[in-house]
Amino acid sequence: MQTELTEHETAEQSDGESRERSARTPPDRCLSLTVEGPWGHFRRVDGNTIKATYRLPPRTTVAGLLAAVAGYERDGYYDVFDRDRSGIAVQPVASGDDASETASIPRTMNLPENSLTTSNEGMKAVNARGKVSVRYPDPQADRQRVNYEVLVEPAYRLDVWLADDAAYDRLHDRLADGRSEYVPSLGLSEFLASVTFHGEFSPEQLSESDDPVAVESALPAPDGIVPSSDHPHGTERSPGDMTTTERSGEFTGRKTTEYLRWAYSRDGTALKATGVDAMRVDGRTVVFS
Amino acid sequence: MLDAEALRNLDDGTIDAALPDRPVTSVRDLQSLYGRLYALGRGLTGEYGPFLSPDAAADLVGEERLVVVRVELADDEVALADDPVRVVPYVEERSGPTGDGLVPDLSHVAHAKFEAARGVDHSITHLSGQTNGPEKHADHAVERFTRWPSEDAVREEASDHDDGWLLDALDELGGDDDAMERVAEAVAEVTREGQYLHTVAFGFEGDAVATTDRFDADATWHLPGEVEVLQEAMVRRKTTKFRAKNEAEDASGDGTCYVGDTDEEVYGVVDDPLKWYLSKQMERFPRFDPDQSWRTQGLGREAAIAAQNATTFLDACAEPAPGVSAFYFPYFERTPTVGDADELYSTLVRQTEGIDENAVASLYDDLQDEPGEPAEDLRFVLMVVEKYQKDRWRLLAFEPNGTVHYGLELAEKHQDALNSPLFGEDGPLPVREEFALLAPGRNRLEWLNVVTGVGYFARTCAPPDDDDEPSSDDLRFRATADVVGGHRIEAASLLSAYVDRIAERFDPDDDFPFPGTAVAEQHAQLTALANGDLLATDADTDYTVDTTMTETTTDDGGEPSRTERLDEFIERHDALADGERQGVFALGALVGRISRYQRSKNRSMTAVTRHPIDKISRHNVTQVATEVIDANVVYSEEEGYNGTMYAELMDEVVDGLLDRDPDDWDLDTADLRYHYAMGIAYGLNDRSTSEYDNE
Repeated sequence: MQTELTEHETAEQSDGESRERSARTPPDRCLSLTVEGPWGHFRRVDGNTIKATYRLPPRTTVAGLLAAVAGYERDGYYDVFDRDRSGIAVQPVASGDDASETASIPRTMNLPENSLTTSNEGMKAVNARGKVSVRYPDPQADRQRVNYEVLVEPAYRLDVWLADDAAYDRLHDRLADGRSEYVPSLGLSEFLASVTFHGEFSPEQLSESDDPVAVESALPAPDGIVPSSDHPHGTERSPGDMTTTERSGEFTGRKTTEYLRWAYSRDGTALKATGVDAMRVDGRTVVFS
Repeated sequence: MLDAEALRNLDDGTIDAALPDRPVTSVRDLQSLYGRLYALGRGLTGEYGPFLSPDAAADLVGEERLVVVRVELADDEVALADDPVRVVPYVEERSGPTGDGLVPDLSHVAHAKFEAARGVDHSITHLSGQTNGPEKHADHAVERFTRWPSEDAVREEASDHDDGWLLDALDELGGDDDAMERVAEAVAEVTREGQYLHTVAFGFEGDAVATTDRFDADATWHLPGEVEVLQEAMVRRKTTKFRAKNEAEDASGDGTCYVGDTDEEVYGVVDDPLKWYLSKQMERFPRFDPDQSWRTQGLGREAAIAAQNATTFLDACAEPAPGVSAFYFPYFERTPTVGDADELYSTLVRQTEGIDENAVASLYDDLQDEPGEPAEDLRFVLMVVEKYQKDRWRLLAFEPNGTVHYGLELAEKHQDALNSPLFGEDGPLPVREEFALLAPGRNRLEWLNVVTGVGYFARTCAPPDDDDEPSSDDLRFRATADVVGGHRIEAASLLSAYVDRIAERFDPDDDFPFPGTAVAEQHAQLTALANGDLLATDADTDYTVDTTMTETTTDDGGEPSRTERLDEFIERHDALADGERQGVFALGALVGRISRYQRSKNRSMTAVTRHPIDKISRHNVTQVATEVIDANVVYSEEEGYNGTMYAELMDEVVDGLLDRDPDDWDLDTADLRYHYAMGIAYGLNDRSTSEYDNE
């Protein structure tokens, strides 16, 4: 079922100030949380006949998830999570039950779905003109079985800083209260996410050095990665930033403006890299994207 | 045609300019890189080079198969030349005009094929069908004027380009019935049945039209590759396909190229040579609009055309597999250097020549010979694809980050297993040079090729029986992708597919009904996977095997007795430490031994036929054990033994199976059947039957 969501305030309405922090300066504070769920699907943009998933949530997906928690409407949060004014670190971790195990990239399986459209033209309505109306996908519509590659028990530790203080506080409040304005999910809306807030931390910049540093999070733009033949890392390229565009019809409110290349450890071994802007957060070494 | 060393003749700057400044990280990146390498090696340089399709008419090179209709340009008008039609040889490359006053090579003829079965080619130059007769050729030649100039994209170019008048004039000439009749008659006269390229040559003075960098001032007649507006019209026709397809009318906008990271006009419905991205899909998202696809799938013009040019190399990387094609696309996990480009290019060219190794093993082989080229950066994309229609493929398994690391590791473990005391000419399990997974004589590289191929699992695993079509649930394909990506394979699914395969190969009417070598192949594989840490099992199950070479010595230093051999075999298998599994294995071995005995006595029904593996379960295993033990007792009496034959196995069966009610066992059915089958293979292969008690 789908209910029409009321207009929420947009980033522009609520977060007017505090844009003075320049791009990529070390943040003095960040929020840290874990998102996890039984399933996840972060659709690769390369192809569509089979819905393959990225191993890491794309940066834009993380931004959307956090925006859902904070309560921004669709297309209303890209400024706040702009790459110049925010930073997000993503670290695959072991999910709840297996927390003692080494965190490796979640395994995947194929999940066939007979999906029904939730677009307006495909919806049926009960009591459409009444005070209370219910709209639902037409169960008699044609369906086709489509395979989705899904992540099994994905879990990610996220660290996030926002230059916009009001937006930061807004997100902080929701996380600290254990509350979310919209339902957070891992890619697809049916793959619900549970969120654990670990608190606020002061990232410490690691001193510059030519020696490789061991990084626990995934590495954005990993040019300096030191390859290991015993622990080969994985890579993927996913949307990194979006911008709001003028709407001239449906599905026209945004476009991708940047893609990010990620390297991740497959087996939980920390990645070694030189020339990265690594920070210590809560006893871990991470790189913000 | 394609020269594996072509890149070595180019200067480094040219190659470097064509290479991306970051590593390949997506399938589109890969297509774009392969397409650029192809264009470089094929000499498709310059602004329009990458848009041409010289291989489409490759069979005509060197043949008198180029039909040229000559026209004169003067005062913004076009007229047929006197005696307008010529048939001339089509050549690969020429440095100056022929006696006909034109340069009839591929970059001047500038053929750009349109893949669709219907419609004329993108370029004004058009390739006929292979079996067209003279009348059809007359039609093709005439359509250079009556049809091509009136195509939508050519009309758009006519209004945008300064020399648009030329396109209009060609269109107008097409309306001149007399002129067209002259062309048709002349072409019908000079052609015969077969394939031809049809084009138009232009005679003009001075700067009547803007020309391209291919313009040859010494020529009397200029082919389409020399005339800018004709090239631009060709490019526009070709790029139109990137924005308009199926439901999409104009899927383009100012965006960011997914491959080039450049802000430019990007297209959303660019053809995918691997048919993974199709513009007509059953998508169930609200507000889905194909015209907006450029916002998330945008490719700029250069990347889009490069992807199209990858087709030859992409196709060459396919390996045949049951009902599917498996593609192995090698790349380096680093920003490609000129040296990398050369390595990759020559590997891809060799693949087009149809060599036995997959592209990855082949490239790895090359890298071995060159110090300083670390193979740890060698990666590959594996795609297992079902081509269920010409332009509709289904991706069944996918690993974008394949490395040779896991393959080499697995290859080593597999080889170790075959070279261990578990396998040998005289057992316990057989080696066979003619069986792909039982040939100990291979080198490491040959093994890499074997274990990364779909055949590695296609030999040992049965296809899923509930579906005739290849499916992404098929373990044979999933497991192949898992191995190259370093992901563990679910042991339970693997054993289940093993057991199905054994049952499928079991033939009760054959003299040797039990597929012993198939089981041995499976066992070598299972051992390699377990020892290579590529098997996912539950906590208390362990399929690892001790494959060290140390032979067990006997107390008296002689050949180990049958009992000692059995003990050693069991000891080497961690899985057989479990009493129930050990009992099942021993039961199988006893069945194998007795069957061998029965066969030697020419009995028509053997134990292995009486108790086939797909009928064994926890519920009847005790029953079967009782029957088999009884039979052995009877045979022992017939042979005049005081005790029983195969006493060592009898003990194991009794200890393992009769200790606990099998209904209470934890052993999974597939696991039970597999170890029963392994026992049979062990028993059947033991040739020491002349001494039944061998204590």
